[in-house]
Amino acid sequence: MSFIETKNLVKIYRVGNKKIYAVNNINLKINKNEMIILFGPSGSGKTTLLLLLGALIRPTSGKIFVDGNEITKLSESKAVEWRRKNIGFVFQKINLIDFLNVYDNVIVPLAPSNIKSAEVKKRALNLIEKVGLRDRINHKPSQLSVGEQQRVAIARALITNPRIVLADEPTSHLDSETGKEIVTLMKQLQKDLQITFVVSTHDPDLLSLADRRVRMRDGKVSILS
Amino acid sequence: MSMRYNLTLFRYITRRQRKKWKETVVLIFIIALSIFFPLQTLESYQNQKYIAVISQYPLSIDTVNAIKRIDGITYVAGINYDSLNDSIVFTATPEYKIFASKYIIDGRFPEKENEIVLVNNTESNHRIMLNRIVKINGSSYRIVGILSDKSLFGFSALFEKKDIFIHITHIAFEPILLYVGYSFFANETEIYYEIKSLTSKNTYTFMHFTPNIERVSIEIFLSASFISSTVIVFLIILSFRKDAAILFALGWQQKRIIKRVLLELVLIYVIGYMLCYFFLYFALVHTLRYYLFGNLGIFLYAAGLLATDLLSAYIFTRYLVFKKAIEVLTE
Repeated sequence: MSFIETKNLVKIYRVGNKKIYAVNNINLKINKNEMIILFGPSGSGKTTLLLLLGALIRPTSGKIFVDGNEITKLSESKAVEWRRKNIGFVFQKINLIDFLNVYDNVIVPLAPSNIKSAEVKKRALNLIEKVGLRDRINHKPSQLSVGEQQRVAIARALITNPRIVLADEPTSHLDSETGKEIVTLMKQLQKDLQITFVVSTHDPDLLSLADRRVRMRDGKVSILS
Repeated sequence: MSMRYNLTLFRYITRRQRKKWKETVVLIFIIALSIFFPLQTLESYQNQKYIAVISQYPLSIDTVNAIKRIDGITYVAGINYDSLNDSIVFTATPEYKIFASKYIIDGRFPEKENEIVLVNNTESNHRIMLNRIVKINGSSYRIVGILSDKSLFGFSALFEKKDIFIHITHIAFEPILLYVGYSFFANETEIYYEIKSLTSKNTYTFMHFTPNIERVSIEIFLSASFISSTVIVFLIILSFRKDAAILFALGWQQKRIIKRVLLELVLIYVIGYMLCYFFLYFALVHTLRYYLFGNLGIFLYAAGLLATDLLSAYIFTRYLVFKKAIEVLTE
């Protein structure tokens, strides 16, 4: 079995009386420590698939296995716990907490854990260094460029030492050069930290950075390579 | 839960408050006022425990005895049947002084049956009521005069005494009761009166009815404060939506996020509560003293308001914020 595997995954949204298949019978296998890029136009189901893989929403039908465990069976509280230990999220809208500085934004996911402060600090400084924001550590999100904010979000996604990072169009608010820098950074971190990255994008320039590419259209996938 | 988590939680709360200080200040004031005004009303109601009945009409012994049986009246003073300018006083406060004479400032004394006068009991006059027809126990009466008695019913006298006055004046051949209620923020619209015929069997029942007017206004105030407070909580919770959604997506348990929201509300609430005391201190020092040393009402009310706010915050967060958390992050 692959590290991540979906079986007949379906997610239906209802708009009035109409059924919308955001994810339509997807069977996808993702290997450990690879960077996979979900590529497709807006509304093709990329975000929904990421939310399903991160156990943020539940499928209408079908199953998701991660490292052999079915995460679609987890209760709400168990899913939260599993997500905190295994998943790092990078959002399209970045979603930093605006009243916290870079350091505090990065350590937010660890706040409920019992990890010692010294360890938290060590991890945070290490990651902030890796994303190149050591000299901006006390800055608030509003004092950073969008590219820098996305770097903070990446560091935040990695602070829990997750096994999987799910990045939903992380470059959509960036110019193409900064976007490429961000994905290159993610690629570097993926290699350094041995993490599985699932990244969605509609930017064709980023496809070359992926280990594998998956095209999505109307909630269905086709493997490009 | 670790100490470090609690410290982090508190740091988030205080930082958020610093960032959103304008919203916080508004909320604190609203909470302070929402406690303050119902307490004011409550206070004006509770202080109606001293009842004075004043008559300038020659009353029979039976009537005097009947009045003395009204709950709250324990003292009779100044009985004089000889002159319209003298008064009979029934009061719960023996130290109460006898009042100055009264005189017609507008219109005339009643001369016929079904004519009455009103007492002008505030700085503003009741000239607007002159010649109006009022219905009392199914009978119609015309208001033909306004009686001045500012030394008795004037603001300063009531401010000190906070009494209810039942003023007995007369129509041509029938004594009636004129009831004047008083509230702290007395103005023309807040002074109310009831008139009953002393010859009617129902004369004294209105004593139970009239305080209910005040009770209704307390209920309105209380309802308004609870509703407005809940609406404010709803708006505050909406402002938490994005933060809550982010924390939820990053692996915070819902109960931890709710705890954070509720702690923040408690913090704001306590400051609002203190501010309410500050208002009360300057507006009504003796109320503060009374409630602080003699009554738990203020605490129970504030605790009830806080409990309602926390419950509504929990419900709003649990069923509105988390249900839409993902949409907030991805829309």
